[in-house]
Amino acid sequence: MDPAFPVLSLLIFLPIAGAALILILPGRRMPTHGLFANTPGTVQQQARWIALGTTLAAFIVSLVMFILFDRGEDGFQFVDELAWISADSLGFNVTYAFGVDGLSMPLVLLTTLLTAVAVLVSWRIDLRPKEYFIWILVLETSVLGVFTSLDLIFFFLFWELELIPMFLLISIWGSGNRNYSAMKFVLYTIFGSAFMLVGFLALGVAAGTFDFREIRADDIAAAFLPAQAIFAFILIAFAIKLPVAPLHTWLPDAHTDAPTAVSVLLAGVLLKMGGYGILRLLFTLMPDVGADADLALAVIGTVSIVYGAVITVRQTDLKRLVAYSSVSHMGFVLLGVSALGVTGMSGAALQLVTHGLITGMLFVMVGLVYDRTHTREIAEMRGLMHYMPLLGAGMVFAGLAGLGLPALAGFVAEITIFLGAFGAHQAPVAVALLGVLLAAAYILWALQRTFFGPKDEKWSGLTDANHWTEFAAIGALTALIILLGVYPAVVMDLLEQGVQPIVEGVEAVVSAAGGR
Amino acid sequence: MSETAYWTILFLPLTAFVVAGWVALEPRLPGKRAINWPQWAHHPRFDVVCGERVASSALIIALFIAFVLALIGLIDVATNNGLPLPFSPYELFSAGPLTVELGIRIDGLSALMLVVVTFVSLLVQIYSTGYMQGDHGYARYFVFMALFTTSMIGLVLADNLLMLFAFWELVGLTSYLLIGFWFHRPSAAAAAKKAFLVTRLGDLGLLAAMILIWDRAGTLNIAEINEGAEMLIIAGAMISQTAITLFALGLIAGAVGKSAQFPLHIWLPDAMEGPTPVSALVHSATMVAAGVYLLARFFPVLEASATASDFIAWIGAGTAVGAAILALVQTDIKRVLAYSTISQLAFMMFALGVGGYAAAVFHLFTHAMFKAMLFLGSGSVNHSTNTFDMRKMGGLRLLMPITFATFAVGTLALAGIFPLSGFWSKDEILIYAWDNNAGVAAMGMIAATLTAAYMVRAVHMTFLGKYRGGEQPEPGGHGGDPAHPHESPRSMTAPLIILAAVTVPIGLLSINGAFETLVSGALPHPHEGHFHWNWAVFIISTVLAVAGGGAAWLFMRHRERIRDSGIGKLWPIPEAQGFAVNLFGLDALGENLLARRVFYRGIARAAADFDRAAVDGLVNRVWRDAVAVGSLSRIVQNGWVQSGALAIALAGLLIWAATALF
Repeated sequence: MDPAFPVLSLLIFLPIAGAALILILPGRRMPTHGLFANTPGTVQQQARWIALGTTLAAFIVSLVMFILFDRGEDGFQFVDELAWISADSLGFNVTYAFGVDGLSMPLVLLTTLLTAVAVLVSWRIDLRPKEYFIWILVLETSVLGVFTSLDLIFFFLFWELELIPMFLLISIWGSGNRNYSAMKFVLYTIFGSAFMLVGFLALGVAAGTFDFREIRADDIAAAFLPAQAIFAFILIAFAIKLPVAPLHTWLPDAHTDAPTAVSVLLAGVLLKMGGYGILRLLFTLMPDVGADADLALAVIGTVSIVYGAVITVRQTDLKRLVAYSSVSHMGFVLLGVSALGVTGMSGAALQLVTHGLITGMLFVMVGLVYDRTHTREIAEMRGLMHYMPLLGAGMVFAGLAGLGLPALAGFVAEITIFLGAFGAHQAPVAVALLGVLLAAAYILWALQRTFFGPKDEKWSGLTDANHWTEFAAIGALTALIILLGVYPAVVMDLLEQGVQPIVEGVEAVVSAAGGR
Repeated sequence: MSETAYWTILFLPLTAFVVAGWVALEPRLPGKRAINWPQWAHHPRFDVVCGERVASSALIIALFIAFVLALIGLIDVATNNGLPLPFSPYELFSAGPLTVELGIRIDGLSALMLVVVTFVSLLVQIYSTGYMQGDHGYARYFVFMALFTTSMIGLVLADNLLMLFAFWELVGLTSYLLIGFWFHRPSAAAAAKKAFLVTRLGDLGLLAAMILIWDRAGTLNIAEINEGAEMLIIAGAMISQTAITLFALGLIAGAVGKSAQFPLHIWLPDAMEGPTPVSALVHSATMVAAGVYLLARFFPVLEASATASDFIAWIGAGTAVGAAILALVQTDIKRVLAYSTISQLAFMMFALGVGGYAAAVFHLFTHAMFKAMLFLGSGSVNHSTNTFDMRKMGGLRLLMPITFATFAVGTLALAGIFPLSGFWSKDEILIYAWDNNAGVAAMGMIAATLTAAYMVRAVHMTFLGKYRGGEQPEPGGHGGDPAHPHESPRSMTAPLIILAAVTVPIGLLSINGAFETLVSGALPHPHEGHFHWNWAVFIISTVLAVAGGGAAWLFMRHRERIRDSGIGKLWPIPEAQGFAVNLFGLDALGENLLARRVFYRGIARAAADFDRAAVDGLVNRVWRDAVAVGSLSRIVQNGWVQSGALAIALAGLLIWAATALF
């Protein structure tokens, strides 16, 4: 491929282009004759096919990038760069700069894959389908922008852009207390963003550029805020997004009330923005502060793991249960990062990918069950396996992946984190082991209550998985979870390459400080 | 034998898993029906290969080839005195200093285990084609069995701790799936969950041990850990005595969970909810023995830590006696055998604790054969009487002669009667204990006495006396007509006969020390085996076994009279029995008090309430307060042009006044 070809920009704005195409579909006032004749049914058809086509195209583009990615070369690849605001006299330079490295490439692939899955599980959306798919596609662009931005201003723009589709998707297509949940999600995120913006401005103004490849340690030392404060401000935003206890309470509400596809994307890719930001911005730009904060991060991560898991055990709503388990699983990311070594950080990065697949699949399964039973209360379900053995098998599989069964993706990430972090933080890791036991407890308990047990005539009319979109979504996720569990090197090599410079940065400041 | 051949042993049942998985899945997919077999395939002669039979046939063929390969491999290794073969591992992935490898280690120990696993699994699958015939989930059953056998073979082959742990968890998973095979029974679903959670509690120890040793030594390779354990230098790194002890204790925790030793034994009796062939393969011969295998694999580590050795010796001795007492009071034949398994595994555990490595592995080997046979025998009895309750059996010796004969052979072997295989292995364990730890030896003798007693009692209740009618089958269930019990089909009796034929002679393998030579090849310092014999132990153990069995026999014959006499009134048998049946109250303590009351209704509830009321409550409070503060500004920002104009006018007036005044 021609290196000058702006493939990354193409990828980022491809979903927007698809959204624009859906936008011009004749929708509200439909001519009944002529070239643009349309009916509500066909609008839904056209919208979802365009959305699927767009997301699949994006997935294929990112897959090609993943294959062409040069594993022998460090640094960012597929870089698209263009000066955007050049106000040197004011020290305010913003660059339109996008690129991927070993850390972001797998996350980009994860995003395009899960968005395609999200479109598949939204196949039967009939409430305002045009808008629905437009917002899904806008969401994809914003997430891709976050994962590939090389400039703080663009990072921030895409970070904020994601709120608009999320707010609308939850509050229009959601269920239950959806307005409250959508508002809570937005306010919580904006609260963090405010701090993040202050941190970004401090960095950018001090360095004279917002291109974070250019920001140096001396620049940060000269900023109008101490580095520790900048670190803490930006961390607040990422910690809310990840989320870590006790900043997590937006998550169960947003997940529970969001439509299935949005839960998939929220758990699958949006939470990953927090973990990605910690690695990409905090530890890359301020390794010295990060190295000092390692114990605090390990403790917070461990608290999230255990506290999140203990609360998950008490959940009675299937979707809320999966949502709370995310708090526990994302704690592993923080624990891995806090190890400051290649093993721990690679494990943390892998956990971002595997959790996206596994929890994405759990939400898909819960959503498909909910589509049929119209309840998510665990107490109301029983013996569903008799009527939907395929969905049951998928649910058991996803659950087993969630509890960290070997040969499935989650195990590799968790064990790598444990092995990587123990040397640095023995007590937190020892406590975090409890999370493994608790995960088995809540998942097996939920499976036992919902899918096993005697037949319940109440559910005799339920159909098993029967639509090709359902098989495509479940099949793709199943295959990838097994692939990453059996042969994790597919992405582990890239992630290791991606975290290598971060770890080198940390080691440089640690050895400069005379060791620890 | 080449390395490829050993990998083939692993991949054969995996292939069967894929085939059987497709057979089980295919009819459930929408828009399609099961394969349309041509007319001739429905002829009885071809019946074994069409439809769901494909699943079982594929697995049986795969296991047969695997067994032959394993046997050739064992002979190969045995001629080489059990020394390890020089295979090098393949890198699976790496992350910084961590390199995870996939490799196989073949030495006397693993080659022997391979034969045990493939042999017992093969026979159990053949048996299952009869036992599971007509079951709704026939194909699914063989899917799980194939996955189990694959995982068990992987566990045996693993050359590093991480790979071993991965397969260790996978056998736990398949055990979960098989215990809960009849998931429509709430008791089966609950038992499956309990088994997984209790063993996982032990697995945390194993996980911690793995993390610890990787941190201290930087290697997970089993051979490297074993070679360095004695000198406390593993892979060039100095290891403290404490670290080795902690490592050994972690391994023991994993083994105690998997092998159902006190206090994590509570899952195994409940696991009998699974189909009986599963109990024979998974819960007596192979998976539960994996705990013993793990400790045998890391025997040099145990030797390096006296604390850990003593610990497992006493855990084993206590469990051996306790479980034997519990076996004595059960009325369910499978539960008798389950407690017996716990007790026998405990023998192997304390053998390892007192240094009897070869004796422990030998007992693992013989026990796998005769205990699988006993379980399969109980399944055969169940197949015709439709019950496991021994109070509803009786008199089956004439109705089911093959089952009775093989069960009797198994009983004698288990009771340790000369010259059956169980005698040789158990006596060797007792000799080691006799030489090294008198207390443990005494407890082993007591357990051996009880073993004979509970087995004689079980045989008496099941096969002797008058037939007591069995139980009516549940609607939709399978099995025979309980009113007229009959011998099981050939597919079920053939494995019994084969196992009985194997059980009788294999004890002789120890006589010239051949067995010890074979398995000691797996140790860092291989040594020539020799024959262990001790007249005192021989006489005492035989006398005690005969006395235990005889006492049980007399009690069973005259139990009505004893119950009515003075002894019965002095010692309230039913109450004592009830107390013991409930596992000395331990089950209730673990499940009801700790798991349910203290954790679920206590800690977890408090945390969830805290999360809702305090953490989320605070967020909502801040939100409400912010809204309240913001609504103050509404007084001014009311959107009326007039009030804006008024404000401007007032402000202008104010400025004018200020400039005019000053």
